[in-house]
Amino acid sequence: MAKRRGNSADLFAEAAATADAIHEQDQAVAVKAEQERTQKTKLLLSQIRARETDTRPLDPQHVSNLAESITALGLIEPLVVDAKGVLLAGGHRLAALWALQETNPEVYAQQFPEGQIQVHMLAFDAEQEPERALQVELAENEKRVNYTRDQIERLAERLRSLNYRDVRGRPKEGEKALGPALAVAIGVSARYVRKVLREQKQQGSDEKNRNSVPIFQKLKLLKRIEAALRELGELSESESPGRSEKALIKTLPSFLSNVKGAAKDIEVLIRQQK
Amino acid sequence: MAQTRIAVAARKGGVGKTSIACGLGSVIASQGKRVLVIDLDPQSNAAYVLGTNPTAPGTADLLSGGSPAALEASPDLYVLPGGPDLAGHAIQSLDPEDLADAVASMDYDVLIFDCPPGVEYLERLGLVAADVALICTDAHPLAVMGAGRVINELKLRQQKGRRGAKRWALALSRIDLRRSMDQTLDKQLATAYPAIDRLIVHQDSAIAWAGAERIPLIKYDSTCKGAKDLQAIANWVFNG
Repeated sequence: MAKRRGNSADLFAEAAATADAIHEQDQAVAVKAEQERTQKTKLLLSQIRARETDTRPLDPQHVSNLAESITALGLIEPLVVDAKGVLLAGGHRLAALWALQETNPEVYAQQFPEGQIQVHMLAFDAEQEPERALQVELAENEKRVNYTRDQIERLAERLRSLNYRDVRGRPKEGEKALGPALAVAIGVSARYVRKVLREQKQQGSDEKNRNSVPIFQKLKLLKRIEAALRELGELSESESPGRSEKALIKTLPSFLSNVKGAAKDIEVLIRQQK
Repeated sequence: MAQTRIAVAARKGGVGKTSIACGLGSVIASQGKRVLVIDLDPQSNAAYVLGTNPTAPGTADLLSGGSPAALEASPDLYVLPGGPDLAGHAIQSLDPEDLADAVASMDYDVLIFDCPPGVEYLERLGLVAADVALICTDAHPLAVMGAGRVINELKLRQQKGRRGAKRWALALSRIDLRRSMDQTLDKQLATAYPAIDRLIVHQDSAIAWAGAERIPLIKYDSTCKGAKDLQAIANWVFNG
């Protein structure tokens, strides 16, 4: 015999209560979907917005090489964009895509069905976190083209505007050390960055860098040798000098006078040139 | 006249969403309003039951930025087919407000969104784009459960002040008052959701036959019981 039927009102009440219980799960899923939605993996070319400042000028040859490679292979490395679709890394690739779309729309349509471009979307807003945007841009670039000294200086300028300071030692509160940040970002040593920045500074203050002219370099070196020899002569002799030291002490006065003479000759020469 | 946008949803499958959406479309079109039924179901049933080509470009195309031509089912009654493209990744990653934006400038008096069963992100597109929602349920606890989930979603959106349907009613589908479950349903829903209007669509073979024969309801039988019930629903939509 079939089981006696229960009260259908109870059955409906139970179902309605279950709907409330599932609602929480529905919400959790909706939140997750929303998060995933903001992490898009594809965007239309027109939805990818250029960044406001470009760190490096585009190299037209590199752009056309990339366009050629994209024609053949598609976009292998996705462009990196922020949550709003602003380009973080891939300026050359983006330029190549625009160029390809214009010059070869058939190939473009073939490589990018429905115009969808692969992107790697990072969950932050470049406008809100410009430092992070710069770091992403640089970290990505590091693998590709080496930075010239000019480019390093331009990057330093941008970091300075973000309150990075190029001072030695610990930065003050609210400031950040420029050298190490830049070094990490472009994957070179902090020492190299400091060297580049120092040279740039000197060039800025003195267009004709005397150090780069051999004759000045020689003069400078001779002066340094002269000072070092004087210093050596002023030191007291060792208690039991070896043969080499004895010979050195013997030749020191004449060697010193030759160094001084050579320096004087160069000074005369420079005066004549002027 | 301002455009009226109606979402028909249930979460549960097979409770009469498409029959109500298309039947309602036919009824409203017969009143001289230009109606577009927008099918959000990957199964693409709406275009089929209205006698048009369910495989023509439709809602997925619209959501991808295209402007597909609506198919004419009868004078003043048009349909955008659904289809498997709606299950694609590009649609899944849309913003819930994208459909609302896509239809904003459409030249129709009434838009009816036929929401799919189960697929929440598609249903949400419809609920968000609509200003009125009809939540379908039949006299089965599983359908009541599905309707409850839709109601909870609508409530939450409203509480958070988000875009979406501001007014909704329960549409009790395929009701045959000779059955005990059907008798209890209305009372039970009144208890569980006292603030929500309940509209009844009685069991009517004309609705089923119109769909099977792919003829808009009014053309099939303008005086059938189902048409009268849907007329009452249209009245609720326009006059509260």
